[in-house]
Amino acid sequence: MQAIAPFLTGLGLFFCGVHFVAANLVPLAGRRFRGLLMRMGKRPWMAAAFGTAAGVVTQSANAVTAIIIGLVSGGLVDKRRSILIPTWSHVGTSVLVILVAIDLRLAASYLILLTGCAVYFGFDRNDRMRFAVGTLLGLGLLFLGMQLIKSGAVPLRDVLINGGFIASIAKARGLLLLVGIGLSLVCQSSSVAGALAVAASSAGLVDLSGACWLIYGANLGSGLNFVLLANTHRGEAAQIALMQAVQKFSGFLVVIAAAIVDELTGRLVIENGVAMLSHTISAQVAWVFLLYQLAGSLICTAFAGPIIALLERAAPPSKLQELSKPAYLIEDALVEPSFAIELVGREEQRMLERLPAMLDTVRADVEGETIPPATLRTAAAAVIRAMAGYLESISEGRLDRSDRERVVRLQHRAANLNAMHEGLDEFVAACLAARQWPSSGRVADQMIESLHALLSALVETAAANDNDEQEVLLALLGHRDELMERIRRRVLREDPNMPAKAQEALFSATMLFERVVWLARRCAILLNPESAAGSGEREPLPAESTA
Amino acid sequence: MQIAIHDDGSAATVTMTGRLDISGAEVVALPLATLSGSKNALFVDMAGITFIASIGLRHLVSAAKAIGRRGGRLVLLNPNTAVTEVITTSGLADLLQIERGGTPRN
Repeated sequence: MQAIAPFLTGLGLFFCGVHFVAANLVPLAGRRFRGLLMRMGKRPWMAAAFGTAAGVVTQSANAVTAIIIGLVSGGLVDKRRSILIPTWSHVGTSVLVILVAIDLRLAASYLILLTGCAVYFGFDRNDRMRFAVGTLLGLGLLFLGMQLIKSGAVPLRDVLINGGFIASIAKARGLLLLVGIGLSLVCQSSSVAGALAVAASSAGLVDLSGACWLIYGANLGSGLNFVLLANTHRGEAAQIALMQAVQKFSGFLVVIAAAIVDELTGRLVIENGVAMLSHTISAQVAWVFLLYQLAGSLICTAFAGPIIALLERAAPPSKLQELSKPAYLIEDALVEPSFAIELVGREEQRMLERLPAMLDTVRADVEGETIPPATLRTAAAAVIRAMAGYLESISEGRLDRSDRERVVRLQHRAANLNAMHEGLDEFVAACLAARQWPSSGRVADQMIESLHALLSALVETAAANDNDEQEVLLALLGHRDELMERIRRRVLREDPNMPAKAQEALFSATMLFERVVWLARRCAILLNPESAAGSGEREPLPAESTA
Repeated sequence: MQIAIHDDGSAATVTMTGRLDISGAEVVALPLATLSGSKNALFVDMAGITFIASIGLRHLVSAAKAIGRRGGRLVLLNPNTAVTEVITTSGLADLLQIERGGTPRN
């Protein structure tokens, strides 16, 4: 047991170091990282460069994949542009494996000294310094851990060789492949498993060929990890995870092709190739790992179109994901602010057109497919969030006075639109509750048809952009508080036996009807404030932030 | 939905019976549009309408606007309580004039 203590200590320090680096470097990079991430990916080479850098920073392709899934699911980046970023992050994570091949004893010493002094003398008072010190400490622990693994593996090797264990495993390619798969599944990282392979080869536990099969197994295991991850998602999120699995399996296809060439020619293509790149076995193993990632990423980039098409069939988007995607918020249009503002207007009109459909599940008179209002509400919130982000990007540029006013109005209109979707979702739920009792149910049915007619009129008027039509619309969208109060009193008078729950539902439904009509009126005023001012309407107060 | 039209020169009376839903609206759309474009007064007898959907309201509103732009008027005759409440709740009571009684007034 004492013989393997240094190895185990090194392993623990290594894991701590990997965790500290990832946990501190990502917040240190901060919002700028995410902002850059959202802009990168316009060209494949940009996706490759940024993905690689993201892999170097995070040392975790899983983390980069999760970030991209989050941004795509939130509608903040386009899937087709960003799907190659995590694919190239695998190349970035090779840095860890390469570092293991280098003797970093001195670097580890300096780093730990530096961070120890920083902590002792209180240089880590603010967040940025704390993250920076944490990153350096992580690197120091990482380097120290790797050196201990390498030096601690020597007595371990002796124990295992004396037991005859190594001799049997080291020659069994299939077993090494399985060990690699297992390591990767346990560590949730092919680069960690790859780094261990480098350390093992450096300590003489395995030869170059054995280390290669460990690495191939580690990458296959990582591919399986991504398949399992894809199973927990749907639509574009699953497609992004599956693309990473394709990257891992593509690399293995190159390995199989090389193995076939080895059989035919009697020469070891991969082993001989890396032997030309470096003289030390640990560096050669690191090269194999890097080349594996490059091969997989290049194949995915070259065949991105057909692969994405296959993935879209394998993991089609859900209805919610389809509805949550903006249609008009084109990144490239941001260079021309006036046009970009128009695009937001079109996106807004598209969201307005969905409002009447919020009532379809409770209307008697509907043709075609109905979508639950909760789904429409969630989808609208995602699109409106994307609109808000897009407007923020527009406002960061140079705008003239009229464009700046348009942006501010659109921001208010977007918030109002979100509130309308929320109100309608709650109104539908209240009407369903009111239908439990006949008299309140009749009122609910009347309000549903009325509201549908009003929302349809709002959509038509918004599209027509006609002052006369807007006047008529504003007349239709007058305050309903007195009318609703009269209806409530009449129903309670005519049906004194109405149970408390039905009364509550009636009250809730009528209040929500008033609210939605009020929001619709506000929407109508915000659409054409000059015309509304001309007809005597007050300038609206700034909208509450509900988006 | 069944519809009967009584043409009285510059005015017309349209008698509707049934549900003014999607399929009912398809039946009345063209007659309403044609009459609102040519008559000065249009009386729509709603006594036989048992249900009015959003699309029915929109067709009536379109006809009222069209005839209003030419200085004419559209009057709804004897809608039942439920239909009247839908019209009132929609805020259309000013746009869609309602009259009750036996004979439409020109």
